[in-house]
Amino acid sequence: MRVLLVEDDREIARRLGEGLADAGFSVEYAYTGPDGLAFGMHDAFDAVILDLGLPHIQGVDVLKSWRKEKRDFPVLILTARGTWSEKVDGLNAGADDYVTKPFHVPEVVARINALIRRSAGLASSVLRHGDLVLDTATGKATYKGEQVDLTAREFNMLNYFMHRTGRIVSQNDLAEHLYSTDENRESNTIEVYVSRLRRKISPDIIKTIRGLGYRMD
Amino acid sequence: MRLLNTLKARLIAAAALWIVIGVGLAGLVLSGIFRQHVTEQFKEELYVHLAELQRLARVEDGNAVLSRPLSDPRYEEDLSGFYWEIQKGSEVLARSASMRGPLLRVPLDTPEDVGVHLHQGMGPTGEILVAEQADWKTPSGPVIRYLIGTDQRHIDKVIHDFDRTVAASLAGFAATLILAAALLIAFAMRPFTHLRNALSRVRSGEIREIERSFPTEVQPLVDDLNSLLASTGELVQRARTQAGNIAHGLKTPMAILLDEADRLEREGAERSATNIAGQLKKMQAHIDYQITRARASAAHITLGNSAAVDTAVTEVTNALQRLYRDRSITLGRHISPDLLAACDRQDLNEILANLLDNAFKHAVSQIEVSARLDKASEKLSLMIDDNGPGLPPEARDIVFNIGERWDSQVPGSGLGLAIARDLARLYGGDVILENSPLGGLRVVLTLPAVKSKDLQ
Repeated sequence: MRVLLVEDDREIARRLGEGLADAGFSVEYAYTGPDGLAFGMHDAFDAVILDLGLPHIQGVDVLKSWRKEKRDFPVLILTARGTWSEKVDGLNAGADDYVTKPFHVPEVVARINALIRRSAGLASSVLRHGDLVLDTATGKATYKGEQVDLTAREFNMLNYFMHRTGRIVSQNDLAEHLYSTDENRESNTIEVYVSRLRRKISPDIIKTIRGLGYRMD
Repeated sequence: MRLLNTLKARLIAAAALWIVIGVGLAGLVLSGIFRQHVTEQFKEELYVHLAELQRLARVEDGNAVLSRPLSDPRYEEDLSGFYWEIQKGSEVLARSASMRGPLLRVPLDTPEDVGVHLHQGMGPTGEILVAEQADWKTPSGPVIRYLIGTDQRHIDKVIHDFDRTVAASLAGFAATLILAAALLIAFAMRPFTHLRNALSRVRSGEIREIERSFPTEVQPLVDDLNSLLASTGELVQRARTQAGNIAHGLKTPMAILLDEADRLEREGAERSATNIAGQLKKMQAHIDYQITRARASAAHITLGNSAAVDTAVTEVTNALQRLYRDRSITLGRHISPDLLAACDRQDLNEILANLLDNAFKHAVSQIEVSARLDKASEKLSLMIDDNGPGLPPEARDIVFNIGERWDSQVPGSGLGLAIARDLARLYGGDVILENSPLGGLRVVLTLPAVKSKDLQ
């Protein structure tokens, strides 16, 4: 899952980014309003964390511009003011949830997970697909009752597939959602991770659709 | 004396007093001049008639005869108040047909005096003005005296009639003058009435500043008032920015501390981590509370606060419905669109968001928001009802304490109700908790209302 983090305070961004990466997210950073705006306009994200107090362009205005252009990824806003006016403005501009600073990083991770689930139309943090169960809150997976040990990247990929069961996912999609822009996005590494998941869970858990990508049925 | 409390009434009263005194004096002077003039005229008439009497009278021995009656017929009319008499000593030689009773008595002149004399005396029909002349033809014998008189009442009547007419016209004149003065004063005072209305519209939040269309004498005052209004507005804005900056400045290091606490927890120092995190949450709560209060105490002293209740409720509930969209709560709003609270818009949003957030957290499936205006107290009451579990009466005071929460299962800072009530009280309102007819809690928010034109 790929998350955009727009936060002008680099220290906070670093700490939150690390927490998100630990939870299996690939994180893109933007430190100003215009950067965040451009990122959100042109790249695909599963969720966005947006600080409202940004330099140059206010967070609320960035959010409004995205929504105007039908960028409908879930957005979690970070607010330092502690007042409702800012949260109300943010929510009415199209935010889906808010976290007040100072925050616990695990809390933000949990909220992001919940937002991604909600946007996929799923209510519970536990995703099921046949005998496969994935708890997005704890990062644990079981297959036919047996625990499956996953690395952060494997978890991220499985999580992405399970939010899109029955749909074709291209290698480009996967690369975009699993890696940051500054990482090496060779498509054969995608194949490596797909085959690892098949090995750890079941050979036919992810099907290859020739010329198009993969599908979890 | 309440009537004289207004500048206009005082000016009109003073003007009226001067007009009445002036016109009264004018009336007295006029009446005096007229009295003098009328008396003179009557005297002149008497002299003419006396001359005629002497010319027509022929005195022979003990008798006096007129060759023809006097030309004025009133001397022939019985007791007409116009009389003449020719006396010799105390004996009447002849008298007018109008006359009856004893002879006219006037003081005797000295023998050498042949002039015409005027006397006041009593005639057959009351006080009389008499012209008298003596004839001294025979210095040794008794003198022949010609007397002719007119009753004082005839003079008085003419003067009285005149006085009445003059008094009536002068009263009319004075009334017209007072009315004109009142109109003039009212016209001159109009800018002040205008200013007072404008100020009350500013106070009620209808307008932000007083329009600049006053006469040059008043305009400087209006300009000063406007700059005062603007500077309080700036003061509030500055207080807000400062509060925001403090929040931002403090929260970033606090966020880092909290993250360090998380790290400590992961490294096994769980107790220290919990302590640090707990203290940080308390600090956060106090910062939020004090900043909100500081912002609001700057706002509530400004004139011209006004916020549409319906708009604020819509704005806040839209945001909360988005936030709690998984809860599938039905929301009913019953608020007249022209209901205005005399409260800063942001503060009203803050109060409503805190109260409605509570309702959304606790409601099972339904929230109803309604508002009404109490015209007598000029306050509006907003009711937020939910069908949640409600609050037992013993909890209803505790929940207003900073950092206190009744239900620790539901997330929150324990600040919402304290902030909402403090803000409401700053504006002269309150927040009260009751049982809701829906089964849960009813929160009643009262705030001073703005007298909207339609509601007056």
